[in-house]
Amino acid sequence: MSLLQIDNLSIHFGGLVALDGVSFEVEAGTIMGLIGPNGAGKTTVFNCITRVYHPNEGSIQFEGQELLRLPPHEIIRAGTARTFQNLELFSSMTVLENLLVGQHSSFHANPAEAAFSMPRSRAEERLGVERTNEILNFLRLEDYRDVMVSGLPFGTKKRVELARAMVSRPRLLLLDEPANGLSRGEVKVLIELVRSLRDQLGVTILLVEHHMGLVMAVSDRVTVLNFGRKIAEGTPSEVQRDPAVIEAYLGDTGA
Amino acid sequence: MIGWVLLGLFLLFFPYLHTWPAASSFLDSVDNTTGLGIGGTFGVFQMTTLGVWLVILTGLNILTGYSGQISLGHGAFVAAGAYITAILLDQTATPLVVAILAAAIGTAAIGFAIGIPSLRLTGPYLAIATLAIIVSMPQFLKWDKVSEWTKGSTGIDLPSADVPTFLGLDRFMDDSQWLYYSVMVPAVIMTVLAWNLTRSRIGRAFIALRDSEIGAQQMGVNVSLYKTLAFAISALYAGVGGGLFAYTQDFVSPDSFGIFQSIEFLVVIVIGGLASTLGSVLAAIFFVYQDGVVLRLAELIGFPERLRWAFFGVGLILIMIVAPNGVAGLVQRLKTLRPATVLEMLRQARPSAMISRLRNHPLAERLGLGRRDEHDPGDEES
Repeated sequence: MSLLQIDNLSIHFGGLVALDGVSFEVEAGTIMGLIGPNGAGKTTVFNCITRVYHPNEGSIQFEGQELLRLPPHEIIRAGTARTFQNLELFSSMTVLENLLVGQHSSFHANPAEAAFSMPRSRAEERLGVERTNEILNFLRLEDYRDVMVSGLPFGTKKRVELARAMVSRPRLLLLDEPANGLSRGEVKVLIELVRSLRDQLGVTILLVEHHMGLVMAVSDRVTVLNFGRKIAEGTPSEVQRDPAVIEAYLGDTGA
Repeated sequence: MIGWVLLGLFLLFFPYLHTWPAASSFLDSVDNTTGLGIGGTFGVFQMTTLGVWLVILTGLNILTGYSGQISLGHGAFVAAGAYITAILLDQTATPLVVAILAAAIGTAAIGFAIGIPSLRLTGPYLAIATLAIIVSMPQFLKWDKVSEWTKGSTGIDLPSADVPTFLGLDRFMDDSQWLYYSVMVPAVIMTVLAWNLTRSRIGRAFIALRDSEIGAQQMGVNVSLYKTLAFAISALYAGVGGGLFAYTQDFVSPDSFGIFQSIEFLVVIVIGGLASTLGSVLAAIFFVYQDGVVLRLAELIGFPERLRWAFFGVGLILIMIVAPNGVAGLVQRLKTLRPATVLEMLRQARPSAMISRLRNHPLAERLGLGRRDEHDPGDEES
């Protein structure tokens, strides 16, 4: 059984059909690329998985659990975490504080325990800082730990967001255009990074990306969407040869 | 560490300072030059009211500074706490501590209840809704159905707070000193609790909500729960503050809590510093002592006292431009400030830059007067 199983997912906004019966599966320990021309519905799939949108039809099973039955803030507790196409960092906080919020769902101290600084609150706080240090070291961000996020360069912010997603120890990582706005050199580093996340931390990755170089280099399988429908799925080389994909990207509606 | 000990000793012995001749004449001379009002029994009473406002403003800062929800009607929560306490003290034989705890719980429940419909409102709309609450509050208190308890527009007169005779306490302190301690002890405790809370997962969740609601939600923060929780906690503080207010003033009436007072709350926490415990403390100091100082200033430079609000407005705008994080933010920045940065700031002091900073201020943004920009005012920390 697959880690993530998306079945017949459909959503429309008024008369616009954004997703039309999309189905695909992501096997545990693999990297799945989700591509398609602008407006194909890639980010919409993401927003359905993370419950930002509520699909009209379909099911999203993660480890056998139906995600569509959970409220949005429970999705991370199920074992997934995401980054955003346009950063959604907490800009008035430091990197450390951002990563502590990333662990919000792992901890349980209630307001009274927090206000009286009771043992559970303090223990969780210590554990949170420890886990933050680990992931910051892994992503080579340790120098920025106590820096205010708002002052960081764009590329670093993107890595901080990745760290914030990873610190909750997800089994499925959803990356929404991680290469967006990065330089050529930074993309090279990102390719290594995405691989190492899977190889060393064992996380399964679903990747939405425009940058073909990145997708083809890291993905085990690629799913292609166009106008809200799945038009192809396979290994990177299979997909690149697929006539439907070539038409979607080069035909009169694409590119 | 030594600073905390000194502050503790100061707060502990302040009510006795004016009984010591040397210190007393020093305090009086300070009062004469600055108009502060820290000497004599009056000075003790002012410090007592500082404790009351500290609790109230700390609560408002949790709501507005941390969770980013603007309330222009915070005085309504204070009134609820004050009335619950006053009714219990006036019409039942409830001990003070129990009455204030009842006010805390009752007001928190009201805050929670008001927080739920507020979930549908953000920014300027929430500000207007909370304004409606404070506008309607006096009418509610004068309503026939409740006036049996609230005493309508006459208000509730309480017996003045005398120092109790048990343990021979009355041999060590007079009434004003007793009042000071019965306010300052809960005020300090509430401030420490707020300080802990705001630096915990709860406080961070509030800031996360304010900075990026979608980001917070996806990190597992239950947005509706935390927004109403901020309302409840903030109302709890207002309830305790209101209870202490009733106890120190011996009197509450519908006119004790006006619209302007609620707006003033918001103004002073912006001046003190949003999302900062130090900011709340500075806000309370400002709230209590600005009156005397402004009066004294008015005397010195000869402008009519009724221009006080103009002074307030100009002060607010200046603070929003020069110190978007309030005086507390300025204090933090002083530690790392270098002459080069000051020069750079002066060079950038063009009117257009000032207006843009004003529009980027979190308060302006939340009131719908500003604009969302890539660079938020926090940028200037770096």
